[in-house]
Amino acid sequence: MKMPGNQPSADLHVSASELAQMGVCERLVVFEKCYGKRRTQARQRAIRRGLHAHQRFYRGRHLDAFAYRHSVIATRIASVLYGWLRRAMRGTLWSIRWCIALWAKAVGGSDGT
Amino acid sequence: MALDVAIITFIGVNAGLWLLRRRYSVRTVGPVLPPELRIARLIYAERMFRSIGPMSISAKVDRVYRNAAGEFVLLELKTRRASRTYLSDVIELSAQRIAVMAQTKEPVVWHAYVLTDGPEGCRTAWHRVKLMRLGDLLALALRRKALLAGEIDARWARSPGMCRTCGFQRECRSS
Repeated sequence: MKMPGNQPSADLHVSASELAQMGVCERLVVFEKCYGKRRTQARQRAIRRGLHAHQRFYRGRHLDAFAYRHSVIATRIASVLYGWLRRAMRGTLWSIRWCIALWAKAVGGSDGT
Repeated sequence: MALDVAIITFIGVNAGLWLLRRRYSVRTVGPVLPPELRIARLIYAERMFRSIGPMSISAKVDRVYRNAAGEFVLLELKTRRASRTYLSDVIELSAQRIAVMAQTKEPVVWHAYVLTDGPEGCRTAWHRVKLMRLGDLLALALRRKALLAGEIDARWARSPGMCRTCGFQRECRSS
């Protein structure tokens, strides 16, 4: 049997996630080998959330640059529309204008930067 | 009447823009990429790599970018409440680095990025980590092998918080 520090054998194959598990808990590594994987409900939820996030992440791989440009264009369109509406209303219905201003601010504030 | 139509149209357009931006801006995590990767070119996404050598490592890499210097940079997505990195992230990315270098024969930088994505409502953030050397990974792989062979004793979890979601709490306490 090989011990740490010895020369590795040729059949030493390991995945990155298996190695990473050593940095979490070595006892978990041993237990999983003895009993198989056993996941709590919280762990299963976390795994599902992780898979979902990875799918979104993969789908969005070509959209990074587009998203940055899109947010700038959306803000411009919103400001042009708001300017047009302000001229159309001529100072009346100030409460609606106030609501729209708040809305436009919320749209501008939702930028991911 | 015309004013009503204008207001409804305006609100509808804004709602549409807001939804579109939410879809493309927040979910694609584009704007939160580290500065080095914003101008880098995406080369691989969700790709398996494998190294063959003293230690064979297989790794599924989330993203590989080519930076301005022409070197590969690794990016890993992690979903967690805490916006921080752990030793396991460093180990995983270091193993990925070895596998990518071995298979592509391209240089990979000594640092990588971890993108932490929290639950709904939490901001996505990036963290830069320094990667481990091949010798350290090799020692870790050998330790794992010895551990599974029952030659050495396993250490406890580095963080007690890990035990809360562990399915082996009963066995762990009794052993």
